[in-house]
Amino acid sequence: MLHWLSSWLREIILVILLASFVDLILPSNKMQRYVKVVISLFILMTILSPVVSLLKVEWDFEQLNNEFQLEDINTNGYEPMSNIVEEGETLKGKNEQQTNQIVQTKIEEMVYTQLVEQMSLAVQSVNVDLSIEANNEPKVNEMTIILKSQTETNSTLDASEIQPIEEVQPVVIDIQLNDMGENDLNDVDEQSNKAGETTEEMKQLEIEVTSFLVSQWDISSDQINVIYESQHGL
Amino acid sequence: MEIIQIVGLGIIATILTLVIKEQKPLFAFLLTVFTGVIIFLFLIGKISSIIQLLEKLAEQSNIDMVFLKTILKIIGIAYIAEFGSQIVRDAGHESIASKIELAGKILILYMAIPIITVIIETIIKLLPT
Repeated sequence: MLHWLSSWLREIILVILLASFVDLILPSNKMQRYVKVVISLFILMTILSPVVSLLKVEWDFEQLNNEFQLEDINTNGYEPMSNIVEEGETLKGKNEQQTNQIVQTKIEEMVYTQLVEQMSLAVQSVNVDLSIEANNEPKVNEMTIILKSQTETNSTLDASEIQPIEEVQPVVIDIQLNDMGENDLNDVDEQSNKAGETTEEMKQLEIEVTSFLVSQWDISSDQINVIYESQHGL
Repeated sequence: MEIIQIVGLGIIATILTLVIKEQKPLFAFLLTVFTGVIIFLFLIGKISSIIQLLEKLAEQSNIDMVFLKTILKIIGIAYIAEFGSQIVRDAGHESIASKIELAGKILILYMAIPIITVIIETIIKLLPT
């Protein structure tokens, strides 16, 4: 400000000095009046120059306002913009993680209820591995379903009286046929027979569960793992 | 001591002109013109140093060089018009001398046109519409 004022004053003083020099040099005749008028216009112009520059500039008020606000922020001891942006990024990352987790548990619950209600299965737990794609859409990477082993389901049947499991057994009728064949072939005793029965059942169930989940969740069968609790335990 | 040279030159030229004027007025006129030109040539070196000083001043103070150039042009126009009109007046042609002066005045005002427009525009903008 002071610098600008001093330069303006210096300009005025020098123009006036110049004008007086010219006045001295001038031929002392009729021309003098005209020359004096023009030189006085020059002096007037120099004095008015700040006004002219003010009128020439088209003020961008929004930008000026922004600059003032920025100045305010800087002088009031606020954090610099970069820090705020960084913090925002970390918060966003946390938020994404949380949503990811929530979606994961939701999907697990949904799969669990679907399996229990629609397929009448005794499901121990469902694990879903989620990943967020580039377009912010969650994608199921892997689905692990842990089923209660058949023997256990029978025991839990009495305990928690899950009626639908009764209906599973008629579905497995053909497997019993296979078992009969196995029975004939291997000629093993009851317990091992039962074990064989369960594995066949397991395979059948695995296929059923997998196809059900593939149709319901639009994922490929490689992504689905069906594990029996007993196997899992082993 | 250039002033003595110039004054001596002027006096001798005047005497010669007075002598010749009786016989050949045309040569007397030519002698006057030449004397004026020679005196001006004497001064050219000094004038250039003065102009250089002014330019230096203007550069140091960040004055618009347009200002200085216009002022110098105006001075030049004034001088040349003065010189021509006086010589013509001495030759006894008052009307031509006044025309030369008129041309000089108009050219000086023509030089001032840009400044006048800027000032008028500024004043009009300052006034509330």
